[in-house]
Amino acid sequence: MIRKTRSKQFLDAVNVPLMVWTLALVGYGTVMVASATSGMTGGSGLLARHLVGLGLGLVPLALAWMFDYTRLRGWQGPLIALGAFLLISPRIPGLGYEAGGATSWLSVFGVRLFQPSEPAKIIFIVVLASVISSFKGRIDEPRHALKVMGYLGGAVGFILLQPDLGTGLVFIAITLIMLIAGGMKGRYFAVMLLVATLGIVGIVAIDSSLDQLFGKDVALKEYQLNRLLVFVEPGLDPSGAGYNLAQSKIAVGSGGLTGKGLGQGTQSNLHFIPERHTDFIFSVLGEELGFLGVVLLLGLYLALLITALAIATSSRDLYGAVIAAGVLGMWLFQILENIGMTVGMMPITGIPLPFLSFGSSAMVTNLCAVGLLLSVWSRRYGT
Amino acid sequence: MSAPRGKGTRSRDSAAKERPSRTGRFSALLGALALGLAVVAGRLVYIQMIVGPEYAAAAAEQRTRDIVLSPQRGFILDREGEVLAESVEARTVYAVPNSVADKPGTANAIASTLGGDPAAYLEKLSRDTSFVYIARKADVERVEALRALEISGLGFLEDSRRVYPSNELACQVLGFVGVDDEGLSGLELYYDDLLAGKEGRLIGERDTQNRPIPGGVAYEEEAVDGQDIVLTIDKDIQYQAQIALAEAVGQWGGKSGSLVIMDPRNGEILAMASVPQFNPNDFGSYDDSAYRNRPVVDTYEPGSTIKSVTASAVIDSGLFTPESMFDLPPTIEVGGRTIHESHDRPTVNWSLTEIVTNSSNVGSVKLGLALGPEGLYDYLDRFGLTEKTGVDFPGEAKGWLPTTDQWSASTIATVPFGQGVSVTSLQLARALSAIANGGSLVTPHFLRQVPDSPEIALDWSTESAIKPETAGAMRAVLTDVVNEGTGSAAAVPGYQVAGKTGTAQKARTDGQPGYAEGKYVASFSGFIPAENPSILIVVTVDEPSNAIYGGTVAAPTFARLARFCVEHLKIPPGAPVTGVSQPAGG
Repeated sequence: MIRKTRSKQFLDAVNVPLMVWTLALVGYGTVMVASATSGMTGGSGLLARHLVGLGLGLVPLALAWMFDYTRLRGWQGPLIALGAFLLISPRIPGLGYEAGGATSWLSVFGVRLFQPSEPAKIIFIVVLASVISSFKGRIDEPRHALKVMGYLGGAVGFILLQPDLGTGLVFIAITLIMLIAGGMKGRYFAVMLLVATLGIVGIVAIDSSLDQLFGKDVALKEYQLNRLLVFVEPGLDPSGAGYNLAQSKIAVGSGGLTGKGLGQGTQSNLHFIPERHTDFIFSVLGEELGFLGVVLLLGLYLALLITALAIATSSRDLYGAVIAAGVLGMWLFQILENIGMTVGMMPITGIPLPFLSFGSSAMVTNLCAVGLLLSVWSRRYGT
Repeated sequence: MSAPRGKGTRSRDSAAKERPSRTGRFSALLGALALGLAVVAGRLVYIQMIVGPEYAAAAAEQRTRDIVLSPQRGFILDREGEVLAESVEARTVYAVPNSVADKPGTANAIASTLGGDPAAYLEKLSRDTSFVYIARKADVERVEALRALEISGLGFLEDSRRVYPSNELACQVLGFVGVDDEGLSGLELYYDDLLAGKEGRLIGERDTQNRPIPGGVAYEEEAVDGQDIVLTIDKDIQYQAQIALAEAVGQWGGKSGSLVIMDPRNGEILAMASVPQFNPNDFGSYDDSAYRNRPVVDTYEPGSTIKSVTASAVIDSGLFTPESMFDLPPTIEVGGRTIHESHDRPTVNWSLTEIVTNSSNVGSVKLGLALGPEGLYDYLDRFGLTEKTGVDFPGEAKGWLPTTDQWSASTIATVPFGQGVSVTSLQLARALSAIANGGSLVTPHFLRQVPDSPEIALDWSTESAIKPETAGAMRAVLTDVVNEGTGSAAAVPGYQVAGKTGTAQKARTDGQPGYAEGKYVASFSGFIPAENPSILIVVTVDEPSNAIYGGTVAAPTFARLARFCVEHLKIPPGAPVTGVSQPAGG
């Protein structure tokens, strides 16, 4: 083994492209949040909070980067416990905070802290990577696949308690990408698809019969079902979810090639777009910066995702590769889902756009994920 | 893309076993993520580049669109508080076409509940817009039946609809409103400011069910309902007037007719009728001519009716008394024009009263010549025949009377018996009121009261036209017209009636000078009780074909309505008219 100089060691640890794309996306996001919140009461306060979230995120980024990810393997038990706690914490009396029909926030003494399902995504990736990599790149036994499904099922089960369907979908997407990287047989994916389809139909059926049985909304929230049903049947508009979509499409579509200019988005500023600085920030971007602004964003995301993929391929072990794949899956799904919902390709869920949406929990989590990728990258040669 | 390549893969052979086909899998992942982003990008090309302009238009429409909150239009009531026009609850149905899932099914459901053609509804539902009216001001029960079907994409607004419960009653006077409840004609138009109220506005975010989204309201202003107005119209008299006029026009084969019933003491219009008439609840299916409120907007040459003005002038100016005698040849030539009587007669010696009771053209010309152009014009002006009456009605016409400097040599020979001058029925009614009420020119009007705004001063001006003695003398003269002269058909048993017939030729309408052959306006104008008049009626029938004389065609209608009015309003017969002169000869 060649002994490296300190400066060589440092250069090995730095992945310039990843840092450049991350920085560019964060900068882009800050500009958009500033624009989206400029017309809101307390807008400058929101922008300040966004910047604080950025600063906070640098801490887990640096920690994850410096920490040798391979050592996480030994912490499987505590990590599972922490992840489970995070996912279930909003349901613990005194810790949950209800907003928008779901209890997705952790609060202490009534002070809203963060959305625990965000950091739980990272923990889930790390835990599942350990499981998947233990199958040595070949998942061709049903019990192996079932074991992975067990972890996923547990996580999604806890999430649905909040209930937060969108985040549940993120966990499923993460798992799928990690399974691809982990070498699951193609046939198993087909089986999973079938089971999932039957499962969804079954869940809806069970949910509605439970609702009838108890005479009230017991399991899935009405609005969540509606959001999914609107996706299946766009003409159906039981709760105005189609309204949000129509508004978002009008905003994005009216942006045209060059957009209306930063802060000039009429649809955004006239409150037509709901959640315009969080879930629907892409609508603001599309309206104000037009297709050119969209192409820039998609280009940055493509670069980021390819960089994450490159880091996965460069990993010295399967564990690191699957971790990187998990991060890739998390980002890819959130990007496709969030942008997709603003243009009517995906159901409307409360999933933020990575690095763009206002929201410290997601920002800290995504920066931590960047740190995790850097950790994998910087240890690609082993030590 | 300058992403780092997987150097580790190549440098560590031992690890290669652990990951058999990693490169292939990662290529698949690369393909998947590129594909995913490409699909999203493709969708954005479509939304922003291809249909972008439509969304831009939708955005523009949406942000300028605000929701109008309709006020309820004020009622129109008659003098007894009976409803003439009211606003009833209605519903407006609109659709957000993009949100309607089953368009043919929805169109059928609308047609089966609201009525109408499913194809027409389907066309509306198929439009590429975010808002389309399905039915405006529709019946509440039908719309509620539709609402109960809970069809997505349909929205409902509270609304109100104008209804005229008595249909044709006072149709031309009331007028009608448009689809936005704005007054289009008649008093609905004239008092639109009072009746309309003030629209409210709501600018803000609403979902497709038209429910405001909390916190999305940018601006809200409540609608202010319109005010009720009380008219001087008496519903019962109005009803009788319309029936009687329609019958007279029908009986005598007239083209149209008009009628005014007014209180000569104060100008309150008790009834005003025009034939042909229409139903304001369905005004669109009538010809525009039925909308004409003829007593106010139509002018005609008054003919003999104006002789009462001429006679008043000579008495008021002190030239003659009702008993003054005149030698009247069969014809008289003035300014190169020969004036005939309507019925040939030999040379007679008649009093001023007889000139009026027999409606002598030659006699009137003599009176006019005695006054001279300036004197005659002065009195026509005093009687308000050179100006609008000032009635509270839109589009009032003013008759035609040239100033004396434009008079020809023969004008002084035609104006005294009502040719070469035109007036509206209402102008005549106003002029006659001065004789009836003792000399004051009143302002005819419809508005009696605005109950919710007592501060609105209803100050209808009056001015002096002639001396009270002149008016008294003329009342006696006009009483003789009915008792002894051409107006005998206007008599009401137990009452003294004063009035004047009119049989005026109509000017040619083909651009040629002169009068149209066989076309007349038959009229009667008079008041009751002659001693202390409280009812004044002007009846005209345009182009009667079975008979032409006002005494035949119009006077019976006057009598019928005068009788109804005195009974309905419980007006006692007055004291005998003093100073009634007995005609001295044939």
